Amino acid sequence: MTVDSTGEPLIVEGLSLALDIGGVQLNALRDVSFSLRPGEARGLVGESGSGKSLTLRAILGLLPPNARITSGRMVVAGQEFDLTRTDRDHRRRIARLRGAQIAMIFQEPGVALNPVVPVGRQIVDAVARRNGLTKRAAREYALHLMELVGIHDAAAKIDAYPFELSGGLKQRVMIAAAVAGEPQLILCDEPTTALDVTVQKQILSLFTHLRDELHASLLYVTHDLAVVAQLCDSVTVLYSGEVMESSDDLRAVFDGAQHPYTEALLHSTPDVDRIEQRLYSIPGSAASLSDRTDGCQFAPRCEYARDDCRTGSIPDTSGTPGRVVRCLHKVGAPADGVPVGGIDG
Amino acid sequence: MAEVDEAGAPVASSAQPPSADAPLLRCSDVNISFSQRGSKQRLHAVRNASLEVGPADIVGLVGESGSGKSTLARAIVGLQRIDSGAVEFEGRRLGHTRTAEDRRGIQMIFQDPFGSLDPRMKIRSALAEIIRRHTSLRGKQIDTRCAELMDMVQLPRTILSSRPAGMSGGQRQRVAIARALSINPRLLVADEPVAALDVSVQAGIVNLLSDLRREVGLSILFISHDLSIVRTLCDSVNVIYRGDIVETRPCAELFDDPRSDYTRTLLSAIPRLNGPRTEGLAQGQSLGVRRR
Ligand SMILES: Nc1ncnc2c1ncn2[C@@H]1O[C@H](COP(=O)(O)OP(=O)(O)OP(=O)(O)O)[C@@H](O)[C@H]1O
Ligand SMILES: Nc1ncnc2c1ncn2[C@@H]1O[C@H](COP(=O)(O)OP(=O)(O)O)[C@@H](O)[C@H]1O
Ligand code: SF4
Ligand SMILES: [Mg+2]
Ligand SMILES: [Mg+2]
Repeated sequence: MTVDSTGEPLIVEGLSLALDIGGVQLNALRDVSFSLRPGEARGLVGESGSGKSLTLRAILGLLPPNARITSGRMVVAGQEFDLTRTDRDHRRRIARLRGAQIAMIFQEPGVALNPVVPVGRQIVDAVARRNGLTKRAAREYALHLMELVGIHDAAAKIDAYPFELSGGLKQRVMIAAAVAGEPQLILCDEPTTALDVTVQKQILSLFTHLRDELHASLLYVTHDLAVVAQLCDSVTVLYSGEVMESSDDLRAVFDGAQHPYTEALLHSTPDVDRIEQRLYSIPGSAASLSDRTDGCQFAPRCEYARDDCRTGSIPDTSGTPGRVVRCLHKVGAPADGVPVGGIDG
Repeated sequence: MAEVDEAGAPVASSAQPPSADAPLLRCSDVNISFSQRGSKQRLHAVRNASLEVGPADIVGLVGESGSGKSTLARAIVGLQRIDSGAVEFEGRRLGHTRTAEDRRGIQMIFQDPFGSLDPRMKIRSALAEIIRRHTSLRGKQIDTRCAELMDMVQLPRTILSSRPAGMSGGQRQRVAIARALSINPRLLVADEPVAALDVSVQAGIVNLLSDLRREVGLSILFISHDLSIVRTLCDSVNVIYRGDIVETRPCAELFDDPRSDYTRTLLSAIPRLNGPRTEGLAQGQSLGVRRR
């Protein structure tokens, strides 16, 4: 499949990645593809260890030293990249994307902040330089951004060093720095997981603003499906390093999951509006990297699994443009000519 | 309350059962403050906090980061000195220095189960050590008790021969619960026990806590910032805001008709699977670089 790459802020196609673990090459990502339109927020979801962070790091060229991309290409703002390349020229081109084209927010706030520079300057330095802001204007802009991410006593915090701030505040400083200068493409990895829900709400409003008013595109990595439902337009579900289900229309998945894993994940997500005596828990546990096998990765835990699920590679059986369902016996599909029904309400 | 009271009997092995209407745990007007570096003012982490947990009750304690949840929890188990107020357990006022008997009554589990488990020690040895220290069980009885505990926390007995290092987060939390239960506490204080776990694993632990209450009458003080889970698991909830308990209500009431402003703010901020999408910034706010 080739994709028309005009105008898409981000296309990732056929990304596969191996990790060297004690001299053994293990597949951590297999054939991961998705794209973002201008002004689209896509949720990249999955449980811990499913490969969300590795996907993001592969895009940014920030992989751990034991990782090797075995296949994949990407397009960012019209520029093409063969992700398997490791030469200096390629690394330089990717490095230029970071900061200039792509803003990023990581899971651990510590790593992205410079410990010896006051946080206010870290938020606006790059933007101030680019826009030729005066010192005073830059400071005002930093204060403004800090307030937007819910730091109420911004004036008291603007000159603080990162070590003087709590984890939650550092996380918000990082978000402020990422959105300064109104980036068009933002990649974030669990940006609000460590924050209180009231602060999270404020941050989600900020992202919504970026998307709706400034047509920024967001790739939003999280394990929290409720946050994705609140913010995103589209969704890609990862399990054991593979895309299980994906849709340009988020509600199509949330209201009618066709992949058994998506269905199970949604079912096990606690929902404050659905009072249950007992929560649903997916049987078994996720396979570790070394246990990944042929066939469907979810088969050992899948209620719908049959013999044919355990061999070969599982094709996309969705049949709908903009949707991917990698399953042989998808939920709600006619089985042996008999409709199982129920998914359309 | 009466019927759960009876179901609660088996766990209360060593102490006399509390009288029918007395709570198992009562905190009254607890104040806790800390000295702050570079300031004469003390930080009041918990102010006049009162809460109760009845026999076989699961009571929630929710609030934002830094609101004092863990501090109060630590005071309940005797890991934190209180300035004033009282912590009573089974009608008896607990001092700061706890007797072995006090410690047997209340056990605590944490967000990071690794913290309380020695990564190199086999699970069987870790459990045996505590059982030997706190009970009169010896030899084969200890093995039987270990097996029984694995059944209680719904883990295969083979786990007893493994070490925490190779276990998943969910398995480790189950082991931590088994460890806490090994000496038959009446009250379990659980500080964010599922916050670090995947939803599906989380669900298993939440169900386990609910089973333990039903099957052995365990009482639980459940600390969480996840209100969806609190609504599923708890009978009543205490909402704490900056050290103050601002609302204590049965779960059903609190969610349908929150009274304090803070509770309302909190409830309206919960992300919802089927809720309306998040709105953008408030009118008049924007991100714009202010160019001059
Ligand atoms: N030993 C201590 N010395 C000084 N201050 C402390 C100490 N322990 C806690 N505090 C402060 O007391 C307040 C309450 O902290 P606590 O850990 O109880 O919050 P919490 O509600 O458990 O928050 P979280 O949700 O982040 O776990 C915070 O302001 C915290 O910084
Ligand atoms: N540097 C590394 N060395 C070894 N294994 C790794 C490394 N980075 C990630 N992994 C493994 O790769 C898998 C995917 O990791 P990750 O992308 O971090 O997952 P997620 O972000 O979805 O939780 C996991 O099994 C993880 O343990
Ligand atoms: S392919 Fe088979 S095992 Fe995999 S999700 Fe579909 S039914 Fe289940
Ligand atoms: Mg991650
Ligand atoms: Mg705490």
